Amino acid sequence: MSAAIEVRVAAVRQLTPVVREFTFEPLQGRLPGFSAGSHVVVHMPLAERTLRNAYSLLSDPTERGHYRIAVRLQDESRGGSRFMHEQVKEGDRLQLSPPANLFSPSSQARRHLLIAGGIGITPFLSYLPELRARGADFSLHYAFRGGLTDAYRQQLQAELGERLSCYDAEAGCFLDLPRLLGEQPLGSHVYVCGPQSLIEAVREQAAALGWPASRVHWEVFAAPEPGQPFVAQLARSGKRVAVGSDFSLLEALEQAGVEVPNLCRGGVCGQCDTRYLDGEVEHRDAFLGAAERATHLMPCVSRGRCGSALLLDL
Amino acid sequence: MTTDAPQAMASTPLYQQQPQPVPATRRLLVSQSLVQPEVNALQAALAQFAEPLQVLVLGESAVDPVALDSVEAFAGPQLLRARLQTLLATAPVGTRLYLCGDEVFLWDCRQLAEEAGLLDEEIELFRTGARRRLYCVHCATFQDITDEALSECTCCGVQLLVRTHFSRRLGAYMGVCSDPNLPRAEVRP
Ligand code: FES
Repeated sequence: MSAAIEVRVAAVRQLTPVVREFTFEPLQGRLPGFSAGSHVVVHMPLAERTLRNAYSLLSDPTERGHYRIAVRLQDESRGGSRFMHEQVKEGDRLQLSPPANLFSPSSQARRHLLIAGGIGITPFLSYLPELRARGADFSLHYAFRGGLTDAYRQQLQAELGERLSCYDAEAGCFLDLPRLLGEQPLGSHVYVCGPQSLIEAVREQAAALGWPASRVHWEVFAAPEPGQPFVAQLARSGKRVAVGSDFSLLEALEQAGVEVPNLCRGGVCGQCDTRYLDGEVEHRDAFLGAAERATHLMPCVSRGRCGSALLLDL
Repeated sequence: MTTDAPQAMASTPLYQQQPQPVPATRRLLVSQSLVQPEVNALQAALAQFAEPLQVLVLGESAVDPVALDSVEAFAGPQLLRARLQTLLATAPVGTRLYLCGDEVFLWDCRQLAEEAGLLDEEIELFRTGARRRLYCVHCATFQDITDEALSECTCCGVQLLVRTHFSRRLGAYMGVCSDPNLPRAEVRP
């Protein structure tokens, strides 16, 4: 894994009651470049542990002097978003993992249909300058709760005009997915980012209407769901790692000083692929096929089971 | 998963026997003919889907107007291509295209569909008849052949060996000189 980047918090802006925007500057040197749709992983030193959450970069990829992210305060937070909202102040220093991209706009698409739910607007903010520079045909459909999760709404309205459609749940206005997905010309690709329920609805609706999977792109940033505590035994180093119920296996390994390559920390990219030799696994990833699951697991989301020790090839 | 092991037939196109049971909002069959038994079987299979089937066909095929209410017949390939282009220009994602005919017909239509924005996964190919296309790598001329293994190039006269390599872009098999010592079909004094 490449070394973490040291940044200084240059600005903090409250965008809505639950969304805060952070601007980061490099402590020294220059920030690595990034492409539209990239994310960084922010390392959050809480009292008892370091949490690492992935956030989309929402600045213009051609502006190289700073990074910007926006964080929504989550009710069910394990402390990450709370830390960002309550602890992080201008002038603070933070560490980030360098940008990675698992959600770039397709180069084949002739039309880009962007669907955002709430804080899921963030990756699209870095899409817009790129799509405009390409002269691409696109439209953005933004669903939110007005006054609460509608960050950047005015700015987008001013910039995009007709290309933006807003759906304010507070005003009883909802996305009509069957209609929207039923009337896109050939050559269209759809991109969705937002809550799991929205992503699933788009994927299901698209599949039902005959969209092949290669036209459908999605980005999830879900913190790993809690689960039963269990114990992982490392076959090569002989270490024994206890995984608490609100830690992912990946986090517990990192805490124990075992680094496993990772990018998305959400079970989709395949980077953290780890072999296991024994034990029962609760697979929660969206990457491995059934056959591979017999020998491999994705520790960023998947877990061992309580009462059966998991033996990892690490 | 990628391997570097040579696969002799990797480029040989695969054709289907049965339409795939996948959802679509619109189904379009473009066929070279409607009188072959293979086509009839395909039509019958497509008729099982709930969505209406639209059919474009080449030639004044004997069409049973009762069984098929939306069949359009075209006197020549240019007319058929033009109509297909128009249809695809306004078609939504969710359109599934079934092509049925000999290899030359299939790959001509397929290329047009791809230009219109359809993906591989949205096109199904059903091959009938033996006609296929040969590309002379020496003079870049196309000619139609059937199942012969050797053929003389109609343009440069080289005796061509028909390779199994199929170019999806050209919709043709590669023809290379079969005997470099004897490039012409007939021995010259
Ligand atoms: S880090 Fe991406 S699948 Fe685990």
